[in-house]
Amino acid sequence: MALTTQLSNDGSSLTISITGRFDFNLYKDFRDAYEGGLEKGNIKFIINLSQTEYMDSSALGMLLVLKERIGGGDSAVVLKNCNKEIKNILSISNFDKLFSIE
Amino acid sequence: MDDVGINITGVASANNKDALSVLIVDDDKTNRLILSTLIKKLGYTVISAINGEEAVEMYANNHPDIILMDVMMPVMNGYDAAVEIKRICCEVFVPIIFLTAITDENALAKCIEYGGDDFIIKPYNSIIIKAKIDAMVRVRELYNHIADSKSALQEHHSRLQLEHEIAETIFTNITNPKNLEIENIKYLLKPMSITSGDILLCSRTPSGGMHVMLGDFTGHGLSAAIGAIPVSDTFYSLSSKGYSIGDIAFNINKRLKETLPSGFFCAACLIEADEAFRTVAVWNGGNPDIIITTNDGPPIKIPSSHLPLGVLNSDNLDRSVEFIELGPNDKIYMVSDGIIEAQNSQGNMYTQQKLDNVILEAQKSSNPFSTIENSINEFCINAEQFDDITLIEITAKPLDIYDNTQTENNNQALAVVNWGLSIKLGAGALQQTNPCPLITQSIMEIQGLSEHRERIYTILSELYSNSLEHGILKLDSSIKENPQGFIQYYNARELALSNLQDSSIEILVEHHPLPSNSGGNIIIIIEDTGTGFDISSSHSSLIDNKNSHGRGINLVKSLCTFLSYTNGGTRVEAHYQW
Repeated sequence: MALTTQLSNDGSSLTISITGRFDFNLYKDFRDAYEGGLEKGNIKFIINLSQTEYMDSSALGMLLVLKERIGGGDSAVVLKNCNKEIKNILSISNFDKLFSIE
Repeated sequence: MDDVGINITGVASANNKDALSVLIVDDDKTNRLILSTLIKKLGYTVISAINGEEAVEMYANNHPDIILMDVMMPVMNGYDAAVEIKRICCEVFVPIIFLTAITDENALAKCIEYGGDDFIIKPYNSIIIKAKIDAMVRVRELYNHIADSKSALQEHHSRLQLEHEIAETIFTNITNPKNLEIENIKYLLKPMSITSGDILLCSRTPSGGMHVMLGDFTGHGLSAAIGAIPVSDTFYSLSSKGYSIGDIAFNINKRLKETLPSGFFCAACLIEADEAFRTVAVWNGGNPDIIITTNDGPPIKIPSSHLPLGVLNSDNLDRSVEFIELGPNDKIYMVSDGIIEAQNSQGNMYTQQKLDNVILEAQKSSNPFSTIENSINEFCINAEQFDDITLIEITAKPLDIYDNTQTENNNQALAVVNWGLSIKLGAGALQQTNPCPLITQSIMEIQGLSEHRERIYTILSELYSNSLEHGILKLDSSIKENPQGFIQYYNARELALSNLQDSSIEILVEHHPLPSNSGGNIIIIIEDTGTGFDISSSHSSLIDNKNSHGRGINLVKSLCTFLSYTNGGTRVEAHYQW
């Protein structure tokens, strides 16, 4: 499974982990994952990219859609465990200005 | 013919069978009668033929839905009739059920071999006949359903293909790089599908300069290509009216934000060059580093410093650009990320580092562009392409004279006139205001000149900061040289500014038409009450300063026709001609 989700014990955050390539093929899975999270109410999204090898512009687009979908607070979407490659992609697109990266 | 034992128990059942007709083929009159009575009772209409030949004829004229066919008949037997009917019915499924007394397995197999779909062994049993006909009706419905879907799919497919072709034509017409025939520009476009998500636009400005834009939309193919329409529209329209690339980026962003679904955006770099090609202005949002190779030093890299177009609300878009001073035949390279992320047949990526090296090495060859192009093409041999690939090379040399009588020029609406303005800022005003945007805006309002906005703004703000920071605040710019220096410098600036008393800066701007009335000369004079400063030591030249965004007096010099500090550095006069 390229995409897995885990709700934190207290239900305050949903971690979406992506393995391998994060691209357009994950569009539906990714949307289902965050829509599922949104049903739980006002929660924080943690995108775990530790196992992500590559991210294309569609993935950046999906992150944007998620951010808009939850109405934009800076800390509501956190990108975690980015490797060097992913960090580079985020910085070229200047997405590091839009998302908290940990 | 064999005896026929029939026990009619079937009763007309299903309602919808009225439409279906059954052709009974038998040379025995009694058989035909009995069978047709039975079939009619099942609710079908019946027609009959007395031999194979008549059956073929009746099929051709009446198009029955199901055929019950005797095997042994005079004139033409059942096998031959079946072959002929299957031949002429083409794509339509007409079930043929053989009626036979033969129980020899080979003969039964022959029924199927000649195109029959099933067989019924005499003597008939009405239940079996009904069951077999029902089964065939079901197969026939299934067949028709598939045939309908297939033709719908075919129709859909050809419509889609047509739409793709239309989109491709529109895309090619709109993005047709007609202006890329400029001698200074070489480019490589390798789209992944028919329509590319990369877009390359180039236009000459009314003042004889040039705008180039390389855009890379999210995704590939048709959906990506659609965004090219508003982008190229906005680009060409604003460029021909003389807007600056900052304005163009601002307006494209606004247009995309309004039209594209969220999650779709366009990474882009825009470049503006003046006619003499001495400086370029650059705006890079989300594209890989722009690389400029120089004759006299290491290459300059201009990384993306903005978000891609279509992401931010227009109020938040930063339209500021960077100016770079160029030497003759310096080369500017812009690429889409498709190159960096291109994979070879082993699945390895091309990488930024390889691109940097290839570009640098290629400068030693007689045709750097084709050397780079070959490297990319060789790398991609036998590999699947995942993204559109675009490479553009722009050589810094004076542009051809441009006949701008064909282009719209909104400056013509404003006559070239004499005017001047001056503004004097005391300590309090210096603490809370930056007058440069206001003055630039005033110049735009009075004289048009939006294509010169960034240059004028750059001159004003460089000269103003020098007067303020060095003339009045006495700051030493050498502390900016180390990474922490910038912060130290700006802390010192804040502190000195907040303690400022009894100082002022006066800015005078005058505009005089040129004798030909085809342009004007803007004279900017900035005078401060400071004690002056040593110009030669305070400002590193652009050559040393290339990596920290090329600011400084040499940049201003390259933008102006005249620049002079007098009165020990407390007064500066700059002339900008347009």
